[in-house]
Amino acid sequence: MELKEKMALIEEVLDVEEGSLSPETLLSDVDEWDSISALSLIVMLDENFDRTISGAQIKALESVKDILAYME
Amino acid sequence: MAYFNFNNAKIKAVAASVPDDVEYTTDYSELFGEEYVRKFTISTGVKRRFTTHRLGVTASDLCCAAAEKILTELNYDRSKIDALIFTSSSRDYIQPVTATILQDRLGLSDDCMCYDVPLGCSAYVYGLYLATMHINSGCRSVLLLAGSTGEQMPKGYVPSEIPMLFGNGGSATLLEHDEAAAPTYGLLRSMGRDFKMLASPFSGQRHPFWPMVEKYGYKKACLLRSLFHMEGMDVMRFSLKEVATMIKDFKEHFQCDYDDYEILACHQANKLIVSNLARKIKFPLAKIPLSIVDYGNTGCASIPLAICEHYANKDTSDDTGKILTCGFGIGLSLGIVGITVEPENCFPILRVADRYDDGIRVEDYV
Repeated sequence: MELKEKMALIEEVLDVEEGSLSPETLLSDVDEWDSISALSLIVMLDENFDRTISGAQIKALESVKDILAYME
Repeated sequence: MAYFNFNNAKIKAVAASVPDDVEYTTDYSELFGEEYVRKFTISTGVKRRFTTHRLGVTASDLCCAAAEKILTELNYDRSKIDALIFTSSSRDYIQPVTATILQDRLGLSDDCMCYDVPLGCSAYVYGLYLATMHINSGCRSVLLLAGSTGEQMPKGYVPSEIPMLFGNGGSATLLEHDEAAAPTYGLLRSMGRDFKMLASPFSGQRHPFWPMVEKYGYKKACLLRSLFHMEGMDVMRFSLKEVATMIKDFKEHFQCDYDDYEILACHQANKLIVSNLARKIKFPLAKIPLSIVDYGNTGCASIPLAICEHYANKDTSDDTGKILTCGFGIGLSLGIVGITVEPENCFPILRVADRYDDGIRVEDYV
């Protein structure tokens, strides 16, 4: 999957506008990043990348790049 | 080996009930913001719930009404009920068990054994196992009561988080010895290593109340005692991994074909969990009742509630009554059980407003 597609998936999960995120974006700067979008992220990674990540792994995420690391 | 397969236990009837007090998720828009409430509804699915926090109705009140409904509708001989199991952690008292109080309220005989099983969202499937086991060890009939409620709150109480995920409900399931009954079979599991994921950590004797008062003061100790903690993200992971694995193991062990079942009455944790669990196990979502939308997550009552809600809205003439039930949650504890119900004896959901007066007055004690 190309970077562009992965970014689109993350933007969908966070419920933000297309093209509004970059890999460098810090999650703490995204208002929409909350416990509900975190659940959607777990589902997205499970569905598309067969990765079931834990709450501790979610809490350790700092930037969009950290999410991309799970999207291999 | 926690697989089981029992014959001889017929599920005669299922009834479910809710407190007669409704709330809508949008009632909380002003308090928590419209956008947050919108997102909450999308992920959890909850639009409405029935609640006890104003009425003060208890799980035993709800279960008692459901049991009365069955016994009255079937004009059932109460003296045949040799066991009553109250599978719930919403008890009337820490001691005694609630089951004996229900025995008295339902007018059952002294020869009826009564006990509680204080499990959470897996209580119903564990209860099905216990009830069928009792039937196979000599009981003529067993009443399985499962209900979940929160405590009544003081007038004007304002929650600090949106309280709509958990709704309240009760249920009754009557099982009877019948050699022609379809089998009841399933798989039960436990994962105590992850117990902290869902717990009331300060509610019992491991972290006792009075030393907490000494250390943190009375107010904080009271808050701690009633605290319920949930790691939502880990619950999601548990559902996608452990629950999905259990269902796959069950399917393989019993050589199941999903087409043979009318529905999967799945514990209504939240919509995101239920829909993704369906995807993982490849079960058609259309055959999983989503009662979470109108009732919220009603804990151990969510499976019988889903069954009753499903049959209340359906022409049952060509329905086999063959269904799967799956419960999972606090403990961690999980199970899946295949059963056959009588669709015409799965009654529409009742509403209960009356709170039982047990005759206990504070003045009589202190």
